[in-house]
Amino acid sequence: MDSDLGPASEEALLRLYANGDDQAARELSRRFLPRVLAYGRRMLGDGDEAQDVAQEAMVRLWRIAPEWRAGEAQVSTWLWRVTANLCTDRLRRRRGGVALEDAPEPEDDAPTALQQMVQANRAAALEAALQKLPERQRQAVVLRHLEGLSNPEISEVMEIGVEAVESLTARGKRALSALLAGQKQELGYEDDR
Amino acid sequence: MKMTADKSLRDHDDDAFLDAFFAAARAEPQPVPEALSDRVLQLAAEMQPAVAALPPRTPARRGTIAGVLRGLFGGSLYAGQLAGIALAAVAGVWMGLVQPVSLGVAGNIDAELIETIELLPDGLDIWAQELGMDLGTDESND
Repeated sequence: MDSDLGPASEEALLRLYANGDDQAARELSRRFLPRVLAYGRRMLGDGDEAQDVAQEAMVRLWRIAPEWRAGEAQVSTWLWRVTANLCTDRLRRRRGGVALEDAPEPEDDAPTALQQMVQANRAAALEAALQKLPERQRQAVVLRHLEGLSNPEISEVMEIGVEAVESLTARGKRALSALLAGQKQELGYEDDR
Repeated sequence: MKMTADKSLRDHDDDAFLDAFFAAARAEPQPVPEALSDRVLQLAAEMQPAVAALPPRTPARRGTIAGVLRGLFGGSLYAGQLAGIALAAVAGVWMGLVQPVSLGVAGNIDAELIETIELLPDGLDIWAQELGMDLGTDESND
């Protein structure tokens, strides 16, 4: 989660919120809520569950605000870890019932122009393919290539080594390529080359 | 060796192929439902520690600056805010009443100006008495 002013401003906002500043809460929500919601959607494949996770993640941020110790960690990294763990908990509970193959597919967007249609179809195809990955590979790929975290940041979020992150990301990408390869033509990929 | 090279080439091809999909997914808008945003902000307000931790309002004594200010603001101020405003008010009055010393070009002090400078404890006391304020000053004007 990039902030315009860098990690120091995230801490400053959290401190301001803890000291009673309403605007700080609005700014923190503006910066973080869309990202945790998008992450939840990609990990869980379900909009309603993603909203629950996003809300709970933000609640935990509000709760920790007065106890936050400056300089120990980045607020964004901490929030990613909380969100990732909430998603993992949901997925574990889900495995007791619905199989991964039966997880709901994301809905297609209605196309307007040809390029927007191609882009939207590619995005939808990727989201559907992500749901087929093992959870840890999906997590690493989403954090790296969709949310833009560095490998050291991902290792902090997932609480594994950097090499493990690289391995998960590489395996996840190979699996995605295989899943999407059969749709190259209909997704307009060969027209790009 | 060849297997390693083939694997690297395959990974490179995978990266190029997937980049288009990643770019498309990143570009897709991720709207936040208004109801979710409202709930999150409502919870932020409810959980905000500083508001919950404010001390209860204490009635100010009549005749004190705090009492006057509370009367002016309809009792909406807390003790800490009243103290700050009271201090700022006294400082503002003090700075407005104390006149600056003007120095001449060669650094000579203008004697006439010195005579007109008033340090003004008298005036301040009179003003305070009219408003029923207790500044904690003594009765002496010297």
